Amino acid sequence: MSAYHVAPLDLRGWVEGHAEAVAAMSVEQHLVRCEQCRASVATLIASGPAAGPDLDAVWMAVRDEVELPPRSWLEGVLTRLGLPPADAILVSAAPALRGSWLCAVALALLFAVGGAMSIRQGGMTLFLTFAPLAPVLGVALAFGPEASPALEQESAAPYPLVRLVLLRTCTVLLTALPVVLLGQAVLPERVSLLWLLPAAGFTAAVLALSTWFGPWRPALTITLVWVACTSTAALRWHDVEVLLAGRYLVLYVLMLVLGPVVLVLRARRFGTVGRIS
Amino acid sequence: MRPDSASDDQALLEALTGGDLGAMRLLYDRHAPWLSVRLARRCNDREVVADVLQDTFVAVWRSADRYRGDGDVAAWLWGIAIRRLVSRLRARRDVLVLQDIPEPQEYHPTVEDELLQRVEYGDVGRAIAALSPEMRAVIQATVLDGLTTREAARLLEIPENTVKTRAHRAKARLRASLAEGGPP
Repeated sequence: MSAYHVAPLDLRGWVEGHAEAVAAMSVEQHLVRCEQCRASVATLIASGPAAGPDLDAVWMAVRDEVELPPRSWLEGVLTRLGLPPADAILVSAAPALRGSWLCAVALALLFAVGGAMSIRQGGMTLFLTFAPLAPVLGVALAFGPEASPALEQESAAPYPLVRLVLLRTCTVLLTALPVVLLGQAVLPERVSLLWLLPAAGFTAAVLALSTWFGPWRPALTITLVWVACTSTAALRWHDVEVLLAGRYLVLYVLMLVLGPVVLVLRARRFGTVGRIS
Repeated sequence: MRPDSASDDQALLEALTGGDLGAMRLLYDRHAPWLSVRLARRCNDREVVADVLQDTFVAVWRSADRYRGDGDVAAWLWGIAIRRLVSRLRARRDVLVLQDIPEPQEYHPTVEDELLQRVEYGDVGRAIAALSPEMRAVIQATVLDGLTTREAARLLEIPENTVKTRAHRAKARLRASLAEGGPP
C-alpha cells in the first residue's frame, strides 16, 4: 500500500478512456494495490455519464446466475459434449438419468459380469439376459409419464419431441459404455461385442412400438420374451450363445434398421410416447 | 486509508465460500467499477465487457476458495477477468479489440513523473513511453497484465511469434534506454 494516490485529473482521464498509455499503465498498477483510489473510480463512474457497461444490470445477472441451482454433473458433461445448455437440462431431467438409477443399473450389470467371471457358463446366461435389457428399460423409463411428471410440460412445450426422445435415448445408451468395456475384458471376444446388437435392436423396437402403445408395454413384452428365450436356450441347449447365432442376429439388425424408419414415419404421432393424447 | 483493507477483501472472499451473497455484493461494489474500466480499455465492445465482468464474478463466487491468500485480492480478480476476456475473444472472432493507444495529446510531466517515480516505475515509465505502440501493447499484455505469450497473442490478435519477437525487442530497448539514462 502506498501513501501516494493518483491525481484526480489522471484518474478521470483513465476512467473516461483518454489517458495516455504510460499514465494508464501506472494508474492500473496502482489501482491493484490501492483501495482508496479504487473507491474514487467507483465514485467517478457512479457520478459521471455511463460509458462502460451498466454495473447494476451486470450485478443482477451475476446474482441470478449464482442463485441458480448448480448444474448437475450430467448436464456439465452433456454441455461439454456440445449440447446446448437448454437441451442438456431437458435431457438430464429424465428419471432414468438420475444418479441412483444409473448406479442400480451399473451394479446389476457388475454382478452379471462378476458372475460371468466366476462361473463361466452360468454367468454368461446372466449377462446375456440382463445386459441387452438395461438400455431398453432405461429408454422406457426415460419417457413414461408414470416416471416423470415433467413429461406433461415437455410435450406441451414447443420443442420437437423426436429430438428430445433421440437425445435422451442416446444419453441412456451412453450408460451402457462402461458395461461394454467391462465385457470386453472378461467375456469371450465374440460375445462381448455381439450383445450390443440385441440391445440396440430392442431399443429401436421399443422406440418404434411406443408410437402405438407407449413405451411401457413394448418394453415389458420384449423383456419377458427375451428372458424366456435366454432361459430356454440355457436350459435346453446349455448354451445361451445360440441366441447370438447368425439367423438371430439378422433379426436384431432388422429391428435396428426398421425401428428408426418407423419412428420417423410416425413421428407425428409422438404424443403417444408419453401416452398423452 | 484503513490498514485492514487488504485483509478485509480476504474476509469477504472467505464469506463467499460460505455462500454469503451480501459479501458478494460488497466485493462487487468495490471491484466491479475499476475492473470494468480496465477491461474496457482492452476491448471496445460494451456488451463483451459486461459479459466478461459477469463471468468474472460468477467465477469468483464459485472458486473463492481457490484464492491462496497471497497477494492482493484485486490482482487475483484482474487475473481472472483478463483470462475471461481472452477466452471470450477466442470464442467470438468478430469482436474488435482496441489496442490503438491514443497518442499523447498533452503531457503532464509533473503529475505523471511523480506518479511513476513514487509509485512504481521511476525511469521505466519514460522508457516505456519511448516504445512504439505495438511494443507497448505487448509489454502491457505480458508484463503488466500477466498473460502468457499465447494469451497475449489472442488478446492482441497477432501470431505468438510476433508477441515473442516484439516482447524481446521491447525488453532490449527498455534495457538500453535504462542503461543510458539510468539513475545517477
